[in-house]
Amino acid sequence: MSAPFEPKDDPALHRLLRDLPPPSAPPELMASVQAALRQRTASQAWWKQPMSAWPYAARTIMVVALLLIAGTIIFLSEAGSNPLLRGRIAAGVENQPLSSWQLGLQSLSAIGVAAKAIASTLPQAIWWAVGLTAIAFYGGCLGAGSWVYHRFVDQE
Amino acid sequence: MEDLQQFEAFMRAYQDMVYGTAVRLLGNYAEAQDIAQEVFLKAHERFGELRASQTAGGWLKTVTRNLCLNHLTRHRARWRLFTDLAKPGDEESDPLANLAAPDLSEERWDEEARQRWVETGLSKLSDIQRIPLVLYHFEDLSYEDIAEKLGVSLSKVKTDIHRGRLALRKHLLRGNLRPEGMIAQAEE
Repeated sequence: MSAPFEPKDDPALHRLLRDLPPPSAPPELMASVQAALRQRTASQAWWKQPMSAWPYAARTIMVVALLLIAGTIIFLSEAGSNPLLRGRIAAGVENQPLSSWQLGLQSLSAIGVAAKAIASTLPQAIWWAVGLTAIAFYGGCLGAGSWVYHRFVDQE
Repeated sequence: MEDLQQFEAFMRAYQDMVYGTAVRLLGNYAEAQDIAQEVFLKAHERFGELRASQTAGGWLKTVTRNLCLNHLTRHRARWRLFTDLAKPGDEESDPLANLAAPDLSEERWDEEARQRWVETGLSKLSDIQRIPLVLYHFEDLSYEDIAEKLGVSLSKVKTDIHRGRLALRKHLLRGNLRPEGMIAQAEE
């Protein structure tokens, strides 16, 4: 990028200019940036701000929702390996028509059982390969997304 | 809160560099302050990455330069038109000639006054001469890069920089200063 300096390019003037200290920024600059930042934060929708700045009700709802999601996932993953629950589901199949909830649960438990069976037969090296592939895939997606953002969105 | 304090420290470290780059490129203090503010707002959006980055200074300089050039873009079509029409003797009527030269001998200039006189000379150069001159001497861009960034021919860049140097030297001489003498004095 940088040009090789040539003697005909007035080296004395070049050096004089390069030795100049940058002009001092006015004191108002700091204040104006701080004011602009405060204004920007205030005008931003609450859900775009950090969670610590959210309204208490929204924070409570979010925590409850996350707990519910986590509880459901744990329950469903347990359903596949719990013989009692599996027996109940199986009994439901024989004695009465399945509700949509039971059908969903049965499908998930079947997937859980199958996944456990497959996992127990695979050697550890395969799991390492799967993990590394997932990390590489994630990194690739992140890199591609970053490139697209810098190339097309943020031109500065 | 801690984040804001860290950003303030970050700003204090770089604000002169950012503002200085903008003021030299734009030749206008108010516009330079606006650009510097915009640069730091952008920096705040990426402060997570920049705070620990060794290249934060380079990033800030590049963003400042690009924002200044974008800012000047709207004037550039007019700029190109007028410089293409300019006659060879036109540079004689330079705006620096209207500046009152202080009646001081070289020995009586203190360092700060000398620097101010050079900065004044730079800021009073026409856009046509100042922008490529600043990009070359302060921003380390090659003639080719400058031509590409400004969308003008290579020969025009060389001519404009040459004329800018001559005008600046004339301005320094009117203040009884020569770059060679100033450097020697600064080294003493």
